[in-house]
Amino acid sequence: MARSSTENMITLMSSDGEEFMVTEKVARECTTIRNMLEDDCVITNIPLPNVTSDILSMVIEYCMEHVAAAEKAAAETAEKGSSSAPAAAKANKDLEEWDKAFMNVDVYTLCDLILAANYLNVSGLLDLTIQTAANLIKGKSPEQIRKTFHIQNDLSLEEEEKIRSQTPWAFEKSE
Amino acid sequence: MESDKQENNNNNNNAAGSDTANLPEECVAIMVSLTSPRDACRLSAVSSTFRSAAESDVVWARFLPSDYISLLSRAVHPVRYASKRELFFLLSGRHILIDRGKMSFGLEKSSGARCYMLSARTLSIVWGDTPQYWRWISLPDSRFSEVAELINVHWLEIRGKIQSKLLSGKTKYAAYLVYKINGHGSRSFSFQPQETAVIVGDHISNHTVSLANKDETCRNTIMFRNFLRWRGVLTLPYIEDEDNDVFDDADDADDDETVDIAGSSHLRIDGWMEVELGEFYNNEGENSEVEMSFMEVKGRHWKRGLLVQGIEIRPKF
Repeated sequence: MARSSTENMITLMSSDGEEFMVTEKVARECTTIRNMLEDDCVITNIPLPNVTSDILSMVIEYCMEHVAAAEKAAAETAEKGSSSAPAAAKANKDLEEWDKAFMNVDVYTLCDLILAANYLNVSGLLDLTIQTAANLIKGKSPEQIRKTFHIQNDLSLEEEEKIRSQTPWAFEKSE
Repeated sequence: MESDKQENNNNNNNAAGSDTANLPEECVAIMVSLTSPRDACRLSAVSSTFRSAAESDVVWARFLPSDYISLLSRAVHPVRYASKRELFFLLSGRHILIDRGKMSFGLEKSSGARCYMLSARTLSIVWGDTPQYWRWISLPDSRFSEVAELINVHWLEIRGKIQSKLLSGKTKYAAYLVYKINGHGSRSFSFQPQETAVIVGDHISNHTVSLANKDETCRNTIMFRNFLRWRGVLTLPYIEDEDNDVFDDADDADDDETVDIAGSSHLRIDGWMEVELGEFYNNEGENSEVEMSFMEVKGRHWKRGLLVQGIEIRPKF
């Protein structure tokens, strides 16, 4: 699909009052916003009380990159009649590399991005951030995970003992 | 076990930013589902949010085989479970009988990889249908209703097959003969080692094994060579060419007094023994036939006292 001639702009407002002007296409990457736009098509200003400006700017950066990549792929397909497989593979790989670099963040930012991606319902970003977090917890002990993610253990000693005794093999050093 | 145990009260109070304790349980559950069953068990002990996420159906549905409903429909005895986690532990605790009791199915607990055991009835056993060589009996400690008992054969050949698509992808597997030796069986397996193989496409994995206990193997190998030498002297004019080869091989090997046994047998928790037949890596999305075999056809002596429950295929770490 070619880009629509009149590009609507939407203003997104972060919890700390900063405004971000984005194209409707970029805003629609967030399913939550897309649903709002579909319910009320004249809406142009959307307050996002759950997302700080730091995180919102990152979410927008992610959406813009992915919209641009999709538009580029669509344009190439339109131009040549069909997309060439090697070019598409390279574009995918480039986008993967970009995602990987984008995920070079600290744990706090990662968690805030998960919360924002979940709230705004950006499925690609949610998958990416959750997979990144999952890679951080694989093969770690409960103590290491609490330390990495700064989680307070709210389980009682008895509860924790019970969990450990259910699957003692899982707490032995993995091979 | 980790050394830095119990640092519950030692949480560094980072005022800035959020932490995963604030992440919604559904996000934590997806995160946990992207790890492994072993990780999920460990993650239960992180905090109460992690515990309920790590015990949820979202997580364990992901660790169960994608076709678990159809697998359960093939079960001989109906499988009852209250949650996906319970089902996972049921299947990883012990195999269930499927396909009218011809094979069993289970999961490897730390990875969730599929495991099967093919019953002796599904294997092709040379002379298996001839009662004077093999007979079919039932034993209380076998999961299958029938096991094959070797009465007496020269030609011992057992083969099994499984389609690789039935197994989990990206997993290294090994096949094991599950057996017992009764009576004087051990002696009859000590004269000549047995040959095993697992073949998948171009990949071949072989072992030379001995079902006999080690002392007996060393003692009898020497006795067997002496016997061949003696037999050779007495019957040389009547020996066929092939027999001469056996005779020569035994003589050539005389420099080395011990037999090199690569595979070794182990006692299983069900009281049976197992010996590895070979290993292979199962790639994702490919389907080939996995052929497994256990043979002893060179020794030419009578072998007896072997009980075969089946061949088990499970991940190897």
